[in-house]
Amino acid sequence: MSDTAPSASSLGLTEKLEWLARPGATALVVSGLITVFAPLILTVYVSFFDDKVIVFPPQGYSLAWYGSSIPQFISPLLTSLKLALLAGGLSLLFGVPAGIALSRYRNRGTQGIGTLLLAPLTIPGIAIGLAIYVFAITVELRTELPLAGSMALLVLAHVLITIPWVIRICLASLTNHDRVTEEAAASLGASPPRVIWRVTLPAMRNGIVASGFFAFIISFENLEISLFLVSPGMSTLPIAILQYLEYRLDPLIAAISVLQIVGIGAILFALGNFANLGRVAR
Amino acid sequence: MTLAAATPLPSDRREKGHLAAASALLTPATAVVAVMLVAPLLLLLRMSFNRFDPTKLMVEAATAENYTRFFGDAYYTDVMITTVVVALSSTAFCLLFGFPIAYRLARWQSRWKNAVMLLMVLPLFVSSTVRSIGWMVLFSHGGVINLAATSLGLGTMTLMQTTTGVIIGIISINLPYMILTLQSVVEGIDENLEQAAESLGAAPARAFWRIVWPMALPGTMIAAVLCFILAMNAFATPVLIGGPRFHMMAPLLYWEFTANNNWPFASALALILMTTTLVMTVLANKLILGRQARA
Amino acid sequence: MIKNTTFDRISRRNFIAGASAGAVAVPFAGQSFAQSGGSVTVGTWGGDYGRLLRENVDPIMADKAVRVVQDVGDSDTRMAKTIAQRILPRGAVDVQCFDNVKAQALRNADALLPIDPAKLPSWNAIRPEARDPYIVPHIVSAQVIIYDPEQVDEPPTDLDALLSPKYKGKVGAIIANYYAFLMAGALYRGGSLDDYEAGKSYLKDVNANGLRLYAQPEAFTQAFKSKEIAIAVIWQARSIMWQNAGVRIESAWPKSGAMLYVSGLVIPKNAQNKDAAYAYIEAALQPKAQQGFAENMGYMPSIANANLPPNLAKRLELPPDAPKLVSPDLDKLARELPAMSDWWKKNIEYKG
Repeated sequence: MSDTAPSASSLGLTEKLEWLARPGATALVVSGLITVFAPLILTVYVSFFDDKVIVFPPQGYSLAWYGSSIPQFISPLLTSLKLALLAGGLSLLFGVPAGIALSRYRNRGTQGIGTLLLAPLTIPGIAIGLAIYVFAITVELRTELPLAGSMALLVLAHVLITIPWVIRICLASLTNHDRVTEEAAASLGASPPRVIWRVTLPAMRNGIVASGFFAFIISFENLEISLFLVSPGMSTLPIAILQYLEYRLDPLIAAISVLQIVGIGAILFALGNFANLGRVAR
Repeated sequence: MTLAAATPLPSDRREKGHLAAASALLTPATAVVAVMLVAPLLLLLRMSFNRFDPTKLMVEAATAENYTRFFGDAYYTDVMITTVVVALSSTAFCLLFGFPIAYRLARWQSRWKNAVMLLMVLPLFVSSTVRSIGWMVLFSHGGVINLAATSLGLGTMTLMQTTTGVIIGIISINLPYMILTLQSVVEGIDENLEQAAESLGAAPARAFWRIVWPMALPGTMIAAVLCFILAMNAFATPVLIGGPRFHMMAPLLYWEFTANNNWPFASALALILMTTTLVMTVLANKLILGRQARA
Repeated sequence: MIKNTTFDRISRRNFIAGASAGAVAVPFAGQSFAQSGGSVTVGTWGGDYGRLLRENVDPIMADKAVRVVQDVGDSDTRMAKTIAQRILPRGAVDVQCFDNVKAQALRNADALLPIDPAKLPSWNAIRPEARDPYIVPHIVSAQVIIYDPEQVDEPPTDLDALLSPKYKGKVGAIIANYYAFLMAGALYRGGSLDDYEAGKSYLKDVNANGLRLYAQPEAFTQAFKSKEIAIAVIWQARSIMWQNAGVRIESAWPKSGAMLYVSGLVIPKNAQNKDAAYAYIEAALQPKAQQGFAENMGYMPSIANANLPPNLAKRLELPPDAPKLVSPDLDKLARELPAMSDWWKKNIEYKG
């Protein structure tokens, strides 16, 4: 990138961005966007292939895969939805209060707990999944509680991996939060729970919607944790897709994926009006 | 991750009230993490000191042989090096592609902005398994890239079962995280600062490196660390794009657990992977943010 | 330990007698043990195997008002879960489908219930040489050489074909079959399935000849179709299945002999519905159920009275120059398997 300075007086928005607008930067932008969107676009394209195997170019096009994909995957799809709703809901219930506490009370203790609560994000999913499974069996052996393969354990495991997202997003949505209103409410005699209910939570509304959505999605697409924790005969959508892939690689998989993309896109755009999801990953 | 800065507290009574409130709010989440993460990890740690027997499978012991086996066999250290190289290079490309995209998005004024932001969120929600299928169509023997290359007379070009293919696949998955984080980081930097710098005669590039970059660095580190961690732990992409001859840590430990039923060694692999990731992120934070603090 | 070499040198006539014409028909008389209204959880592969179980075995169970729940998963994951759960008083799965090597490893780890022949009316219909105290054999196949006749001009006679420079870069393998491939090499180079070192040296040579590895059978078939590969060693059943699907491949029996693949059903020792498990296994041994697997997947039945239709029996028939069919020493193999898979991962997969 060149360092030739334009004269100070001629600076407008476009020139100010000039160095980032140069061909080099544009090439980076384009390559980045291609890397992200190419596989998605190709998945949509493949879902219309007529052939039984995915070969490029296709012999013809059809919508038949959409028709057959739903009956094939309906049961795992429902399991995944139920799981993601339960895990997302519980994760909000546990995560939002934690987020509030972490942003309000900052000391060594809460800092340590904050690190702990964000830790599930940093650990390989496959290792947590295996460890929880073996741990559940150890506990079951001593307590006779039917833990291994129970829905409760699966939901809790998903809560574990979604909590860091809820907390991250809540913390982000509270960074610019003005404590003055809270202090005013408190000085007027409102009890702390009432302050949270009446002042803090409404101020966090967007953050809560966004984090609930993220929790739902992280749970919905999780493969590694569920792999070991599903009960016999139960399957989630990502597991069902992986198992299907082991025996067949046909456009059916693409079709169910497109339906998934469209469904998620629809929810996103519906929520997008009142929650700035773009800010969430901070 | 940004939880520093203790607020001074006026009185003891208030401090006690805060403690009660904080623990009431934090206990449920902490309990879940303690039971579902800390306890299983401790069990994993214990198992990593057990011994493997091909018949009885796991024998209680207190041996370090699983760790010495890892460090004594070039195969395992090679797999770890591959994993780190893939994670570092995919993170570097995520930064390289992500920053210009995030910067333009952040400074972009348009009524379409919200829709475009949502479009950037969408890919996060398509599982890595599904996205790998898209790459297969592009990369494979009869795939788009190869077809284009042969018709242009460039010879055959397949990225399936190559390190490059895996890195591209991982970038594709991690880049949206990077873009979204950096976008909000850049938006948090006052545009007037840049203008002020430039009106004082700084070249735009100079204004960027002196004003925007230092302010964006902490947030950028958070994004880069997230991408690095996700890449270190990648499971579906290396298996589906990399193929049987491409080995990374997460699939290796899964294989060791399921195919070999060698729990002690699989546990050791898991802990070594976690420790490596943790040490590298802490070091990077110290090195990069520490240098900035001194500067 | 029982040395399971009983399959050695089964004469061609002997084998086919079972596969084709109806020998002793044992009438199905399994009403006494069936629970009414219970359920049975069956761990099985997905794909065609699970589908055929559903189509052929589940209806028999439905007649007995036993509900079948399939736990679908690859063999490694189900094996790991079976091992993890073996210490629990109540297991989650009643019947598991595994090959006889995995079954042996589970038996060694004390995870299986010994099979009580008295609870299986069809026990006597099982080919005597395939009977085992812990696994009820279900399907059988032999390992053959398959090749694309358009790329391989001269039909191969033994495993040296895979080492030929003519097919450099054209030899394929499915990774899940690694040990069977190694044993084929052992038989070819060492004269015995138990000579693992000979097998390893053979695999190293094949690897040096540009061996291509595939994770899924589907990808492997695709590779034959797209002429990425031309020759491989695989179960005969698969070659029949792919021929049915229109892939142009031929199979050839290796002169040095062919290893037998036996897959079957086991009962974890902590199964909660043991009676239903026996009922399920009994149902899987019914001629009608076995015919389904022979017809769709090209497997030889494990029972002597399968009554295969003549044209199907002919397809599964062994050639006139009867190859030697051999079974490995399962106990030795099960003990060696973890070390063998380690060796494969490091020396074959990683050094391509």
